[in-house]
Parts: sequence; C-alpha cells; structure tokens
Amino acid sequence: MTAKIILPILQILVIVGFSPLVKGFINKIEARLQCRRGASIFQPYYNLIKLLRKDAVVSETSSWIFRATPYVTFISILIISLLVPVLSSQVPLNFTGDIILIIYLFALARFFLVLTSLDTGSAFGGMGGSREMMVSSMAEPAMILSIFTVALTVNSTNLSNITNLLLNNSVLLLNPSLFLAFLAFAIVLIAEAGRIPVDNPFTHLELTMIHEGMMLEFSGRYLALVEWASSMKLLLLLTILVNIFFPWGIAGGLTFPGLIIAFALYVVKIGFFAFLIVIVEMSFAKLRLFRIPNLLGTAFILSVLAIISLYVVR
Amino acid sequence: MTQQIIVNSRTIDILAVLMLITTIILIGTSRLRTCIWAYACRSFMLTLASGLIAYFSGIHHIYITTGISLALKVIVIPGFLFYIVKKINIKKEVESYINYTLSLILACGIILIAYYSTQNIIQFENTFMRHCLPIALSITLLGFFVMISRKQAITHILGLITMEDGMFFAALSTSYGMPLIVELGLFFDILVSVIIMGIYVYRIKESFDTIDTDSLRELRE
Repeated sequence: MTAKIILPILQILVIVGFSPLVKGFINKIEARLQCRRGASIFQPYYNLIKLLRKDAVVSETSSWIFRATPYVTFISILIISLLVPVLSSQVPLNFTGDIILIIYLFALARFFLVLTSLDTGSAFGGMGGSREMMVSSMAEPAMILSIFTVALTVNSTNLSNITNLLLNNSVLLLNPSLFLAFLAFAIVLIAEAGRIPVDNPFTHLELTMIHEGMMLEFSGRYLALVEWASSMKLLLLLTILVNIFFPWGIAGGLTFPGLIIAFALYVVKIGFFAFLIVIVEMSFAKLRLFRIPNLLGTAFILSVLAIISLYVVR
Repeated sequence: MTQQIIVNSRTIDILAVLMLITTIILIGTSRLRTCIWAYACRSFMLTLASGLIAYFSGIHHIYITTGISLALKVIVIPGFLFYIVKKINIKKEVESYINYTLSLILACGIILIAYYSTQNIIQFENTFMRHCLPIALSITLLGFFVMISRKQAITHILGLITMEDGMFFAALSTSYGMPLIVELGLFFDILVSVIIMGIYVYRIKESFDTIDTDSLRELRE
C-alpha cells in the first residue's frame, strides 16, 4: 500500500522537480562548448520562481481559453509523467492508459497552446501556431509508428509491460527494426521538444520562432506554467526514449536499493542523451522552415521501414 | 550457443541497417561533400560487417577482402572523390530531376519492394542475418536510382559504387563472399572505373564548364 503512494510522489518529484535542471544542464553545456561561461545550471528555477511571483497580464480581447491553456497544458503533461515508467517499470496510472493515451495527451497540450496563440489575435502567435501544427502533423505519425514498432515487438502497448519484457529478454533489443524506430524517435524528439535543427528555443526573431511564437502573449504565472510544461515535455520524451530503448538498470519492483541504482543510472542516461542533444545543436544550423519536411520525412520513412521490416522478417 | 549466434547475426543486421541509413542520407542530402562522407561511412560499416562475418564464420579469405575494402573503399575512393570535387571547384550542389521529398518517398518504396521481393527467400534462412539480403538488394536498387535521378556526373559515380557495395554485401551475407580471385578482380575494376570516370568528369568540366550531364547534348554542335 505504501508503495502505491510512494511511487506517484517519486515520479512527480523526479519529472516536475528535475525538468528545469535538465534544461539548465543543456544550456550550460552548450554555453561551455561555445566558450561562454553561461548562466547557472539552476537558472531555469530562478526564472520560474520570479515568474510565479509576478502578476499575469491578460489581453482584454482574449477568451477563457487563454486562461485555461496553461493549466490544461501543465496538467496533461503532469498526467503523462504518471503514465511513463521512470525509475521503476511499474507505472502509477497503469490501469487507465497506455502509450496511445500519452501521444494524445501530448496532442491535447499542443492543441490548446495553438488555440491560445490564435485567441489573442497577435500575428506572431498565429504564425507560431500554424508552424507548430505543420511540424507536429509530420512528427506525430513518425512518433506513433516508431512506438508501435516497439509495441509490436513485445505485443503490448502498455509501457510498463514493454519495459518489463525488454528488460527481461534483452536479445529483443538487438533488433534492427527497433534500431530504426530508435533513430526515428530521436529525430521526432528533437522536433517535438523544439530544439535546434527544427526550432530555436532561444530566439525571439519573428521569422524563425515556432514554439516561442505561441508563448509570446503569456506572462507571469501563466508563462511559468507553460515554460515548465515544455521543459517537462523534453524530460518526458527523453525518459520514454531511454526507458524503452535502453531499459537497463530500471527497477523491476519497488525495493529501496533497486530504486537508488535505478535513479543513478537514470541520471547517467538522461545526462548522456542531453549531451547528445547539445552535440546536435552545436553541429547543425537551424533548418529553413521548408526544409523541415525533409528531416521529418526521413524520420517518417525510417519508422515506416522499421514497422515493415518487423513484419517481413518476423 | 544459439543465443550467441542470434546476437552475432543481429549485430550484423544492425550494421546492415546503418548502411541502409547512410544510403538514405546519400539520397536525402543536397550537399556533394555530405554524399561522399555518407559513402565513406557506409564503406566503413561494410568493412566492419565483413570483418565480423569473417570472425564469426572463421573463413580466412574474407579478412583479405576486408583489408582491401578498408584501404580502397574507405580511404582511396572517397579521398579521390574529394580531390576531384576540390580540383574542379564545384559551386553547385547536387541537382536532381526529382525533388528531395519525392526521392525520399521513392527510396522508401524501393526498400519496401526489396523487402517484399526477398520475403520468400529469407523465410528459409533460419534467423541468420535476415535483414542482410533485402538491405543489400535495396542498396543496389538505390544506387541505380541515384544514377537515374541525379544530373551531375560525379553523383553518377557515387550511384555506381553504391550499386557495387550492395552487390558485394549481398554476396558476403548470403554465401560468405565470392572466391578471392573474383573479389580482387572486382576491387580492381571498381578502382579503375572510378579513376577513369573521375578523369572523364574532369575533362567534361574542362570542355563544357559544367558537369551537368544534361548539357552533354550540346555535343551535336
């Protein structure tokens, strides 16, 4: 019974608590590699605290959607953090949803953000919203197909089952189809998290921004919630990637030493992939908007090949 | 023991998939230098795969082919191609009759055809390197596709050596390579043909100021 209480608290602590840290870590490493000193690794926390203290300014022309969106976004991402195996392969909300629900909760959060960007009637918001929809319309099929490849390998769409099965017979992981699915998912992760070859999270230049464009009208606590949700989304996508394709070390049960080891390995794995993201950001320039379909098309083709090769070679 | 065999063949399968991905990069990129890098990477994967196959099967002459292909395909031919690109100072990037998105989709279709047409054959192989034959076939077809769809002479060379890679890999993965003497002949062939074509590209550039094969029709004048 205590396990049932501890696990959700632990997961929320890890995802909600550490997601700004991951963002700060990425920014710091990137700054160091560019020979800058960079902001402190805890800077995202300071930003959030400052924003939470401030008053929110809401446009008179906006409707209730504007005020509801930050909560809808934050809560749907929060629910996802209870659906994903983080430290243990057991999942708190296991009884209610699987990987398909996760995909749709991401879509719900995005849908409300795009609605808000249209709601205020600002030109940048509309532009950001339409671009976000364009990117996600291509990223989502690739993501779904690559996750379905994994689901077909173990005959289950339940993330807890998937992690358990892959953990117990790791020969399944040495599957070329899964490798293709992994590559597709990695490309989609960069697009969904709005990192550099697709979107630049630092820019406020009207020609290039996608995700930032939608968030321009938010201020105060609303901005804090949306920013926090977006960093949680990055960490959650990384967690899914790490725990599906490299499930080693994740705790099978809920014993204390197991969880400690799982946490240490989790930090190492997330740190490694965050570092890879930095490397990608350093070595590529942001793509022109009309070149993005090429990149995401590649991801889509990789995931189609993954699923087809799984069927043919089965 | 059987576990070991599965792990071995899966490792080679994953190398094969990496080769396929570098071929897709070759098709999807618009930069000539990236194309040559992709070729060099694929040759390296191929060398690695053939080295592993030699190690797993214990057939010694594959080591010799591995060594030659490392020297030739990973170092000499890409180096020579880089040299040509530098020498004729190509300003234009890769030009294609088909745009990139469409060629990616067509490439996907080609790979699907390769998988489906080998479906009946690979079912008889017992779990051993099942991805290799379809991937070898699709690399061959993709090389052919690159030759058809691209305009510049230098990308035609890349298409040709891609096809050769595919065939080499098919022979390697299905029957542990051809007899050594045939392999040696093939390597020599490919080296000579790449050098001759390189010189031709250089001559074309000298006489026409372009390596776009479309303009070769102006020969009539």
